[in-house]
Amino acid sequence: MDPSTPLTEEQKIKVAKKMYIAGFFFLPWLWFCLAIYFRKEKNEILQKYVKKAYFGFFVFTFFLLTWMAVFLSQRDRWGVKGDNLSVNIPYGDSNYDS
Amino acid sequence: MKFEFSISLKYFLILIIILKFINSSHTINFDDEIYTQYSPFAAFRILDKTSIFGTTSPFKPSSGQLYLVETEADLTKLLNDNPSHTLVVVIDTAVYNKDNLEKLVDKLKLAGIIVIGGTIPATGFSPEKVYPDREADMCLHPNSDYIWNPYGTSLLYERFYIPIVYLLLETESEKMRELARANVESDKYPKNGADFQMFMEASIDSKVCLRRETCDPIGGESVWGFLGGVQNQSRPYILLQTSLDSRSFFPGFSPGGDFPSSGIVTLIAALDALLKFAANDTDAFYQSLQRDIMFAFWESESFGKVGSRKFISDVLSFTCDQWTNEWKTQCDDPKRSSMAFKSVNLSNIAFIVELGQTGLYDNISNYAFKSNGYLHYEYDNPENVPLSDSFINLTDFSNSQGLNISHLEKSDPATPGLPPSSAETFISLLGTQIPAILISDFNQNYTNKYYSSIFDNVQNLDLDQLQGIATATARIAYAEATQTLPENVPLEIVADQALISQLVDCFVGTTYCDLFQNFLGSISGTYFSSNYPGIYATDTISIHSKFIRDFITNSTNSTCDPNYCTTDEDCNSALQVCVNYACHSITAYFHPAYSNGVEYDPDNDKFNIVDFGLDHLWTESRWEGIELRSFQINNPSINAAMLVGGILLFLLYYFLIWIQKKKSFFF
Repeated sequence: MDPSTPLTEEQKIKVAKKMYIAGFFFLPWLWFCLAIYFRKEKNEILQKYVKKAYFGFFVFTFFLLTWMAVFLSQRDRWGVKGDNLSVNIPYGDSNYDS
Repeated sequence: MKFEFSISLKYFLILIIILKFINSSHTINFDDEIYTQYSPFAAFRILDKTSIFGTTSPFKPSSGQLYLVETEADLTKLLNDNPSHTLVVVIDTAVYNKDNLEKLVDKLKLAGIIVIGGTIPATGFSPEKVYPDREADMCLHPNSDYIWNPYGTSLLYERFYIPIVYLLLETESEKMRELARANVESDKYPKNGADFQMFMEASIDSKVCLRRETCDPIGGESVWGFLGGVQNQSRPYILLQTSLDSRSFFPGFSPGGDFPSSGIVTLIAALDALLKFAANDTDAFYQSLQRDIMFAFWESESFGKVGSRKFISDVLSFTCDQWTNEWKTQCDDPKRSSMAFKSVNLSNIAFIVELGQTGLYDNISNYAFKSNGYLHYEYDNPENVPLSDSFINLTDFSNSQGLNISHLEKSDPATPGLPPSSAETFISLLGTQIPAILISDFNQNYTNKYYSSIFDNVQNLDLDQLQGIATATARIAYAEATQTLPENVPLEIVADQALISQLVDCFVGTTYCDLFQNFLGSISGTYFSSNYPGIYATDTISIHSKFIRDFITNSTNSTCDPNYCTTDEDCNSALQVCVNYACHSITAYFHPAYSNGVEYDPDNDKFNIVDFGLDHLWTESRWEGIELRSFQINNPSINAAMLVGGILLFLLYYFLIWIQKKKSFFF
């Protein structure tokens, strides 16, 4: 991307659309990038993308953080199922003591 | 420019090469200058199916300043002062007990506790419960509140979040004492500190840690056999048995004097007496038997009685998934090195004689016998009474003939019956009323003040007492097996006190003793004899188990194949083992002792949990290493001063550079 030849409106819309769709593949930070990158645009369509990206980012992060909190604190209580869901099980004491 | 650069590069390379030659290790290591290493016995983590016991250090080594506590006054002073910095308390064994440990842990900010010293607390100390194993499902009196072990504190069943270790070696112990004392004597820095690294990987309970492979089941190999290898399926047999293991708060060091070594030594000596007598005229001896004599040393009885349970459950219901060979003499899955146990008929047990703690001498009667024993049995089995009467008749008669044999008495009827013992497993599992008598040195309560602790050592044991019990066991076994009257039992059947003395040295003292060296060749491993069974390993046999099997096999005077051998596999027949570099017929077998709740999976080299029912599933946590180091600690204000000084220096340089940029004509 050469700063001496800025993107036209159409190109910007295409980029925004691609980023927006890609964000649905569990990439909330891509949405965040989209929102930050195009935050100063005046174009209607781009503004809509920015709004949708912000919304998607916050909602996804909310669910992600909730799941993380539940998983990390409750995983030991789930027995075999919990261990099967885990990529790495830390050694030593956990918060769960029967 | 380029020329200069390449010259300096050349010199640099030469310097590197020189350094490589000078410095033999790959890194420059200052650890030896800073740290002194110790070899502690740690109270490592042991788990059962619902709980965690023992101690652990946090993931990162925890460190603190040493503080010496040698008397109760020291302890009170420390608790009152309550210093603000993190401490490592160095506590002498004279004040080591559960109450003091708990006071320290509750009140102070501790990085760990180091137990040092050789003085044995005079008031007695036992980390076991007052009724050991009462909650286990094999106990015959689960609701009894009787106190067998009056010194019991249940310390073994507590969980600590800071490391606690024991320094056994006197050099290390005294060094630590000096370092800690130096801290108290002067207020000046640098002070002495220590840190621990013993992070325990297992968590939550045995089921979870076995699944995650952060722990291993506790177990070993029991040793059993029939005397002389003579086993006749159509007639009853007498079972002589004892426990092979014990534990302590620092399991790696479990000297196990009165328990279990006295029982082990007595049983080996009794069998030796019988085998020596049999060697006079082997055929006549074994033909005179009207009942066979079976002996057994059960391993891991302290951990849910798994030795006896595994044997019984194998005899009743073992099925092999994969045989080693077509003759079906060995099984690969589950691993059994011999299938001889299948020929044991548990309904043919005439009665059980168990040797409990037998080594403490208590002068109980006016006649000053050199050895005394009490008979414990279950009161609801009427056969126990005439049986114990016949034992007493025999020993009284032999005493009158001048032999050193124990004077036996029935135990006080106020006791609930059998104390915690392997006989309980037989009675519980076989459901029938098997007569079982336990011979011990205690009557109403354990006379052993240090049951299952680091202080239960050789000072507890009396050789005459042990010889008396061993002779009693041998003569009782002979009389009952051959159905001879007391007056006709040959006088030669007497236990050898010299052998007993050697056995005590080996089982309670050091594994580097003469007797072990003779039978097992060169010994490697821990110097101090420990009766803790350790984790079950399919291919290693503990020194104690191996010695017992080899000793009995050798004494049985079985046909000796003069072929030289070093391992069992060298002998031609599957029915032979290698003892003392010669092949002998097998007369004593190993049997695995580990929880019925796990089964070894040879394909994945791990233990899988199977339906364990009420079994306790004892396991030992894994760890990377257990280390204790001491070092010198600087005044903490020096660190603060360095930080502040460094920040000021940084600001000064920043200021100088800023000045230089603003007023560049100065420079």
